[in-house]
This record gives sequence, C-alpha cells and structure tokens, in this order.
Amino acid sequence: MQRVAAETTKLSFAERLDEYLVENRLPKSMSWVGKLAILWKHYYLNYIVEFLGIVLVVGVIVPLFGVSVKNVGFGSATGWYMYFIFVVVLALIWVGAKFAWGYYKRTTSKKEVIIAKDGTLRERSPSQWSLVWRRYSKNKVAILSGVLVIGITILAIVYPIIMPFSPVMTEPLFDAWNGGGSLANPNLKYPGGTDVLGRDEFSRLLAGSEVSLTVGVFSSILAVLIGVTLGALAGYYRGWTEEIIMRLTDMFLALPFLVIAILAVSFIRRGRLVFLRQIPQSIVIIVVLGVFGWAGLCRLVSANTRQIYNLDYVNAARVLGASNRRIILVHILPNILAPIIVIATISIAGGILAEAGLTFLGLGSPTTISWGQMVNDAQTVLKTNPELALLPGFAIFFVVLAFNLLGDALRDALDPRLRE
Amino acid sequence: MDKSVAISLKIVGFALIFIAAFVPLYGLDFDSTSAEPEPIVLENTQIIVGNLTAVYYDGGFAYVLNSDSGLVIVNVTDAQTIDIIGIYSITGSSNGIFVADNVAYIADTNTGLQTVDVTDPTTPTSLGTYSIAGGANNVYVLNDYAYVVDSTIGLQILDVSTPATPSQEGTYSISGDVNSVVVQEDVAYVVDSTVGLHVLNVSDPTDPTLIGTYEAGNPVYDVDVQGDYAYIVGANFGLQSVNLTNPEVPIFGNQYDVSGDVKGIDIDNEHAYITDSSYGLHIVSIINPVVLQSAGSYNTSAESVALFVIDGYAYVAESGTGLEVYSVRPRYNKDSFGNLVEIYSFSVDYRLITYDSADNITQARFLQAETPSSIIILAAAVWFTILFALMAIVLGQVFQSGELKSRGIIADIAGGILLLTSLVAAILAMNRSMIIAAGRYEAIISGQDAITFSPITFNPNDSNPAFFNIALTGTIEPGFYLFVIGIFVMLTGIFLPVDWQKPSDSTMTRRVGETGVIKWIKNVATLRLTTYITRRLLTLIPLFIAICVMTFVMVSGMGDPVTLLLLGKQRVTEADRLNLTRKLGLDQPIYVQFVVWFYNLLHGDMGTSFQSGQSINDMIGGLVWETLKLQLASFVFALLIAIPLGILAAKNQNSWIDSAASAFALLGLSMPIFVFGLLLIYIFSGYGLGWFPAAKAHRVPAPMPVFSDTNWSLFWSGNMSTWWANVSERLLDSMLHMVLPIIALTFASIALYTRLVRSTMLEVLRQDYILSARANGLSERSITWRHAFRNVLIPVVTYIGLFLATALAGAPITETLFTWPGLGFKYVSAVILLDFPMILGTTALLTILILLGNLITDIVYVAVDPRIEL
Repeated sequence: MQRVAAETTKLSFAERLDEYLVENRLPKSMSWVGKLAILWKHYYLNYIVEFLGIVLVVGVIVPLFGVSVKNVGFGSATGWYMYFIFVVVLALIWVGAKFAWGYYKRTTSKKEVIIAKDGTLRERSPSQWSLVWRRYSKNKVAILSGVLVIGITILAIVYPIIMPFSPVMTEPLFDAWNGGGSLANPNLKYPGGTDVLGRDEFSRLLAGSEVSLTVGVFSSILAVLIGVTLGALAGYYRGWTEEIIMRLTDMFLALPFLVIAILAVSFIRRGRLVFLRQIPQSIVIIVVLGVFGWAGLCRLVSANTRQIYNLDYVNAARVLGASNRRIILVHILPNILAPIIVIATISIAGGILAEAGLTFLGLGSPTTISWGQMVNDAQTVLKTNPELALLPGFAIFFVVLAFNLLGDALRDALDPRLRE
Repeated sequence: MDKSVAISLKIVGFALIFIAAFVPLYGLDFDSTSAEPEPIVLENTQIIVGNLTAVYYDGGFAYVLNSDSGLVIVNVTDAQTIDIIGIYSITGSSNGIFVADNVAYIADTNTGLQTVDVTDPTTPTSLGTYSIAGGANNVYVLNDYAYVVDSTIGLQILDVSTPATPSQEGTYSISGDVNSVVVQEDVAYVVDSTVGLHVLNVSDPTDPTLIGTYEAGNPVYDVDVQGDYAYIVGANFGLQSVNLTNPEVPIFGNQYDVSGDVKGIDIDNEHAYITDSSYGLHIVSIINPVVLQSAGSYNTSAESVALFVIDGYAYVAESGTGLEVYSVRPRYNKDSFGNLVEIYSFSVDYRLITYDSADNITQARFLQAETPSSIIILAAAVWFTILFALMAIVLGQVFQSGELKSRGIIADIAGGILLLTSLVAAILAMNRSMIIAAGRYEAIISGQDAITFSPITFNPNDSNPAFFNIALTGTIEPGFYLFVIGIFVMLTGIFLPVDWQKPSDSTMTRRVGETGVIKWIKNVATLRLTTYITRRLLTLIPLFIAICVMTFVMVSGMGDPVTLLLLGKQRVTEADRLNLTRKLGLDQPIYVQFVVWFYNLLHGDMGTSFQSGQSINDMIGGLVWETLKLQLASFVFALLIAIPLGILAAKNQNSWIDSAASAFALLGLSMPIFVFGLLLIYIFSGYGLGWFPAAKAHRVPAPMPVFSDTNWSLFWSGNMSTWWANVSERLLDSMLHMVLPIIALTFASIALYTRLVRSTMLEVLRQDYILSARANGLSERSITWRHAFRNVLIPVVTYIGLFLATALAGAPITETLFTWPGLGFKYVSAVILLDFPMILGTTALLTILILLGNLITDIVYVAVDPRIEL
C-alpha cells in the first residue's frame, strides 16, 4: 500500500530527499546533506526559513526600496514597531497556514480502499465534503465569489502595506500643487481624491475594508455562536429549556432591529455608563448586531435539531451510550451545518450593511474609519465631489454582493434542494 | 458525584445568585428613619432676664426686646458661641422690632415708634422718635415706609426715608387691639384681637383701602404670608391658613391645633415655625396649605414668645430664660403631603433643601446616600432575570413532570387558575401602584386647579415652578414587590407547558354546555384557533412588558437630557437644573419612572416631548402617516413588479430571464439603500437632471392646511378653484418629494419579493395538481394564472401582516437621507437629542405593531392555507 501511494502521489522535495538518502547511502563526506535534510524534514527548518524570509523581505527590503510605510503605524511615533509586529503576525499566519495544510495532507489520505460485500476491493465513495466541493467548483459564479471574498479578506489584512498614505493624517492637504489639497478630484497620485479634511480617499477606502469585514464576520460569528448554542439546546432538551429559549427568541424576533440597534449603539457610545464608552466602535457594533441578530438562526437550528433528534441513528448512538454532548456535537450539529453555513455567510453581508447603515446615521465615532461614516461625511459635498460618497458606497455594495453571491453559491453546493 | 449532592449544590448556587441579586437593592437604603436626625435641636442659650417680647435677626445679630432693659443685641454669627454685645435701654415695655438698613424700628408703649442706629451693634444710638398716643404694638418696614399698628388708631403708615424724623403719610383706623402687620407687594396684612385678618391695599401710602377681611373669631397675635396664603396664629386656635386667591373674600384653608396661645410665627422655606405659650416650638409643613401637617416640635422649658427663623436656625425669645438658638431641620414625612397620604407604596425622600438668598444657591441635602443609577440598572437587570428564570424552572418542573402530566385536565385547570390568578394579581398590583402614583399627581393638579396653591419652588425667582415635587426614592415597599412578583407570576403562568392547542375534552366541559348559547360558547372556546389566538395574545403581554423594560433601561441610560436642554442657556443655576429634572420626572428612581410611563402608555398617553413639549400622541399619528405614505406606495410598486418578474423567472427556469431576475434581485439585496438613494439624488435631483427635489419636503407655505374645516368649507361652498389651488400646491409638492424615496425603497424590496415569488412558484409548479391540469390539456396561461398563481399569493399575503411593522421600522435610513419628515427621521433625531418620550413611544408602537403583525401573519396563514395546522 505504502509503495503504491509513494509511486502515485507527487512527493515533496524533503520526502524525495529522504527517500534518496534511505535508498542510496551517501559517502561520509556528504553527511551534512543528510543532517540538513533531517533538519529540514523533522525540525521544521523550512518553516523557520520561510518565516525569516517573509520578515526580511516584507519587513526590511520592501520599506527600504520605495514603499512608504511611515503611515502604517497611522502616523504615530511607534509606527515602525507597529509595522514590524504586523509583518511578524503576517509571517506567522502564512507559516501557520502552511503547516496546517501540510498536516492535513500528511494525516488524511484521499484514497482508501474498502472491502465491499462481494469481497472485491473498491475505492471508498467520496465524502460529503468532497461532493460539496465538486458541486461548488462546477459553478463559475461560486468560484468567482469565492475568489472575491478571499481577495477582499486578504486586502483587509494586508492593506497597510499597499496603502499609499495614512488614512487619518492630513498630509495631502499641504500638497495642493501636486494634486492634493482639500476635496481634490481623483488623480494618479491620489486615486480616490481627497476628502474635506485633506485625507487620501483611496487610503481611507482600503482602511475601511478592515472595519467592514471585521464587523461583518465577527458579528456573524457571535450571532451563530449564540443562535446555534441556544437552538441546539432548545431542540435537544425540550421542556422548560425550550420554552424559555423560544420565548426569548420570540422577544428578540419582535424587536424592531434597526431601531433597537440605533438605541443600543447610542446607549453604549454616548450613555451614562461612562465605562462603556471606552469600548471601540467596531466591537460595540459587533456586539449589538450579534446580540440582536441570533433569533432567526436559533429558531431554524432548534427546528432542525428537533427533526434530527427523532432519527434512528441518533437513537442508535444513544443506545450505544453516547453522552448528550457527544450526540449534539458529533451526530446532530454536522447534519444541520449546511443551513448554518449559508445563513452565517448571508448574515456577514447583513452585518456589513447594518454597520454601514448605523454609521451612515452618524452613530459611529469620528476616529474610526468606516465606509458608512465616509458616505455620511461626504453627503455635504455631494454636488462637487460625488466620488467621495459613491466610492465607499460602491465598496460596501461590492463586498456585500460578494458575500451574498458566496452565500447563494454555498447554498447551492451544500444542499441543492435548498435552491428550489 | 452523587446526584442529590449535585442537585443541592445547584439549589444553593441559585439561592446565592438570588441573594446576590438582591444585595445591591438592599444596599440602597432600607431604613431611612433610623438615620433621621431630630427636627429641632437646642444649640445654645443666652440668658436675658425679664419679659421678652420680640426678636429680630439681621446680619448675624439677634435683636431681642426686653421689657426691663430695652433692646438687647446678641451676636449669633456662630451658634456655638453667642453673647450680648450691646444694650439700648428703653423706658416702658416695647412690643415690636424691625431692623432694616442698620436701623432698628422699635414699637413701644411709651413713646410710639423709636428709631435706633445699629450700624455699630456694640453702641446702639437713638436716631429719633415718632410719638403715638397709647403706644404702638408692632412695626413692619418696607421700601422706606414703616407700618405701625397700635390699639387706638389702627394702622399708621410713616415715611422713614430719613429714619431720624418719621412723618405720617396715611392712616387706616381699626378699632381694638391691632397686634401685627406684614406687608408684601403693596398689600398689608393686619391682624387684630377683635376681627381677625384685614387685607389692605397700600399701593398709595397716603390712603390705605380695605380689600377684604377674614374673621378668625379669636384674638390673632401674628401673621405671615407665603404665596397665596396668609398664616395667622392666635389664642385658642393655633395656626390657620387663609386662602387669599381672591383677596376680597379670604377663605379658611386649614387649621393646625395647638394648645395654648400662639404668639409668634415665621415662615421659612415651605415650613411655618410657631411658638406656643404652653408647649414650645412647632414646625408645620405648609407644602400643601390646605393640609397643615406637623414636621417636628420641641418642648421648651419656658414660655416662648417670639421667634425668627433663618438659614436653618430658629432664634426664639423665651420669657424667663432669654434667647435660645435652635437648629431646625423639618421632617418631611409622608403625611406632610396632606391629601396625598395614600402614597404608602413608596417611601418618601427625606431631603432638606435650603435656599441661600445671599449666594443665590439652592442646596439639597439628602439623608439617603445617593446610589449611582448604573447599580440600580444592574441590580434590576440581574434581579429580573434570576427571578424569572427561577420561577420558570420551578413551576415548569412541577407541572411538566410526574403525575400531573398524565392527568391533562388537572394540569389544565391548575395552569388556568394560576394564569388567571397571576394575571389578576399582576393587574391588581399594577393598578394599585398606578392609582397611588396617579392619585398623587391628580391631587397636586386638582389642588392647583381648585385653590391655586403656591407651587413649591427652589428658586423664588423661578417663573416655571415644578409641581411634581414629591420624590419617591430607593426603598422598595410592598406595593412594588407585589407589582413585580405579580408580573413574574404572570409570566410563569403563561410559560407553563400545558397543551393549549387541544380542545379540552374533560367531563366538566361536556357536562356544562349542552344547549343554546352555552353550547356555542363551548364550541367556540374549544376551537383550536380560539385557544391558539388566546394563547398567542397572552404571550404577547409579557413579551411586550419585557421589551418595554429593556428599551426603558437603555433609554434611561442614554444620557442626560437636562444638560442637553439647558445647553446654551444663559445663567443656569443649580436650582433651574433641579427644577427641570423634577419637571421631566427624571429625579425619580428608574422603576418609578417606568411604572409611571407604562401606566400612561396603557392609558393611551405616551407623554410629552422633551424638546417641543408637544404630546407624543399628537405627533406620532402624523409621523406614522408620513412614513406609511412612502412605504405603502413602495410596497404596491414592489409587488406590481416583483410578482410578474418572479413568475416569469420561475416559468423560464434556468433561462436568461431567470438569471437576469436573480441578478437584479441580488443587486437590490446587496445595494445599501443610502448609496442607491445618493445615486438617485445625484442623477435626478438638483445636481443633475433636476427633475425631482431631494429634500425639504412639506415646506411649501400653503395658505391653509389641506384637511382643515376652512378648506372643506371652500369645497362645499363650490369655490372649487381656490380649494383645488390650495390642495394641489401641497399635493404636488408632496408627490414630487415622494418620487425618489419611493424608487429607492421599491428597489430595495423588489429583491425580496422576487425571490419569494420565484421559489414559491417553482414549488407550486412541481405539485401533482399542476401535472394533472397539464395532462387535461389546459393552456399554460390558464395553469399559471388560474391554478398556480393563487397559491403563490399565500406567502405574499402573509407578508402583508408583517408589512406595517417592518415598513415603519425600516424607514430611518431612507428618511434621514431624503429628510422626509416621517417616523424614522424623527426617531433618529430624537435619539440624538435625547427626547426620551419620543424614543420610548416609537419603540413601543413599533413593538406592538410587530407583535400584532406576527400574530396576524400566522392567523392569515392559517386562513389562507387550510393545509396548515396550528
């Protein structure tokens, strides 16, 4: 079996080296190669080298050659430290992702042979997720939306590197002869023009993606956490648990969402409880959207859980002595994952829209860069500089569109029946 | 772990949390009476031998009249160390003294009026005299005129602009002994021993004229005036308040009985201080002049004759002892509000408010420690949650498990009884609290209406006094407990997992109704739909209360509207701030505010706006209509576009039409409404094509409102052209302004309806009856529109139920963008301006609409689609 796998799959450089060293003994004078190979393979030298390489290239060489990073730390004196920390985190993410991928590849083998009833060897039928992936990859729109979402996410992470100016400093204001100044039209130096205070609109657009994505994703995660937990509990444990949770759900469903969100945000941001004002705006909005947005999901999860609860395999698991926690986590949740994923994706879009709406209404803090806030600020100069309002507006639109498309595509891929 | 151990641990844990939730509330103040100091405390005594007759205080010195030695000046700057610093001897007995501008005016029996220079209190020197035959009894000085009363003439008005040579201006004769006089604003209040009170007009000092008299029936010794009431004291009756709202006919207000003769009265800050010959010193609350209540008393050792009260100190002249200095601190007890005695469900705030006229500062000293509102909010929140959870758990467990479950009817009856009793208990408790609160308010208002009682204000110069002066404070008393417990019992009663959906099939119901009306009632009552609707309606109540509590807590913590309202005003004193806080009702603890607001809400009164002072009821109707105009139009347009589009897409599944419709829907779903609106504004309004206006709706100055009687009279009288001109101007303006918002809203909602219609249509087209229709050879058009379309309408119809609520709630962004004067726009500005009643009113209205909308949706769903079971 091992041989078959070795022949058919493409081996990595380290593995091939390893194999070579096993098969053909090297002369003693070249033992360092072996040591290096062992280091490379078993002591994760490659990860260290890649990590240092990224830090060196992005953290030292890129700033040395032209790319302005003085705005990365948002103009503060500690900008360099901030930038370096940022680069280290970036490199860590890269190395971590690579390690995880390698681990996944090493531990899971795609092809398994099973013995069928008639005694022949057969390939195992594809797993559910590979089927999902197969359906997903067939859909061009799905691929496009996936690429868009991944691209936007990467952009929201690495934007400090490609951002030409600081989004909060007003340096372009004093650059009127070279295309800057206040309310400059878009030009090559300032691709989005400048706003009333003379800040670079393009940099602000890039910086705004961070808040939008953070709010959208984390509010969705929060809502899913609350909704799925409560929904699964209600659906599984029936009785008074269900009664309490469902009445709570009723209450949250009966709240006029936007109205309450406006109230809650201004309660936290400007209220009497002064210590609440310390909380950053994005976290406030995340919490508000998450806390007031879980009810629909909860109801859905509870209904699905109740449905699956009565299936035979759950009873079988129970008979085998599985604990309630195991039944919920291992047997029920994976089976209701499809609608949860779809709703989570669509609620990311909803979260981004809601954040934009709230900040558009002037509830955001002026120190946070947010697309909705930018549209709100630009309303007064709509006549002369429509791009100031429309650029962030369309940025919201495209991000929301990408997530909506992804949600639709995931729905089609995860459960084709849902489409109809 | 043993199971019983685990359970007992859980119980202990719950109990601990439960107690912990109570602790902050207990920490507030539960026994304020124990901390209360004595109302009158003797501070110091200055022994003065002889018969004392009068006392006056001016600038840190007490001027005491003594029949033996004359005028004694006592330094009372520090109450702890007082001593005599000057003596001015007068032959004969002196009766009254008044000090103004460093001149003491002394009424004595020998000469009449003497003026004494007390610029240097250590050496008082005589300035001049004005002889009155038979001597004078008392004197009052105001605006360079001395008002002297005696036993022969009555009232004499003397010009004392030069105190050395007083000259007579005018007289008013009163027979008998005239004992005292007080002058306020050109009106002199004279009391005598034979008649009682004379009210005189002294605007012309040369010719005093009588306005009215009040017969006391007993000798009256002294008088003081505050607001529209005169307070007289005398022999055999104690203290009387006299209503002078109509000075021509003074009427009896109330009487405070004191045994013995009362010789002196002084009023300071809502309290009358009187001295009686047998007992001593009394403080009488005159907050409500119609109901005089004791606010403290002190038994003096000797006979007290006269007193002067200022700055929390009472200077009392006592014959035999001398001058005694008391610190006074009136007790505000429950009874001091007179006919508001009913307020026993909340304890009353013990606070002493002193007004320092020299510094123009109002000082409020609270006997209770002030507790930050955040703690109250926190405690209340934890308390509510724990109590609710605990009761729900206990009752739920009891009724769900064991024998009761198997006997459905017992659970049914028990649940029903519990529900009913808890409902009644809650309503009774709530009503009780409400009646108390409302009664208090009504009493104040009615008292004001009937007798124009003087408002209690901290700042005498304040023209906007607060009537709502009674503060309820941190102690929760049985009424409130009953209220809260009632609500929770009600909640738990509703949460009981009794099977409501089945018609109760017990023997009892079978026996009861066999014929006629009872049978019909039985049938209707046991219908599933009836029980369903009843149950849903019952669950709405706690939901609504819970949401209201939540929003109320949030709104109360949103900021300080008083500061916002006073922003930009000139010369705002602390007194103004206090007055405004009280007027808005914000000085009360949050749960009292909630109770009052909720009571008013249930009675259809949402309060008045903090900003404009308008009634929210009046405002919100117009705002809802404005919002509905937009939303209804966009709803209709959206349906008109979405239904054909959805059906078309479903009929041509996977064709380019389908893709285009889906893409269009996706665009509408993803486009933020304000971006689309901005785009519309940029293209179609003044910046671009200039076809439609983008803002400033309803600002056309029309000659008269469209829906007014005058305009209708034009219509009925046949003056059509004027009428139409009037109407069309407004109408056209409104319509033009509506175009862009409607397009934006329609675009946003088309997406939703298109998707809905498409998916329903696909589902319907897959049904068997469509297949059979097709097999029978019906045309596609007939199948689509006659057979499938009706079923497509089911989800659309149900959306109408939700329409109202979602429409009203979804408006803020669009309306803010287009500055459309609707509910959402006003709501956002109310949030920014901290207009609490407006925010609360809007949220309450929206909540009700959403709750009812949900209910209607479910019912309509059943009505439209018989396949669905409840």
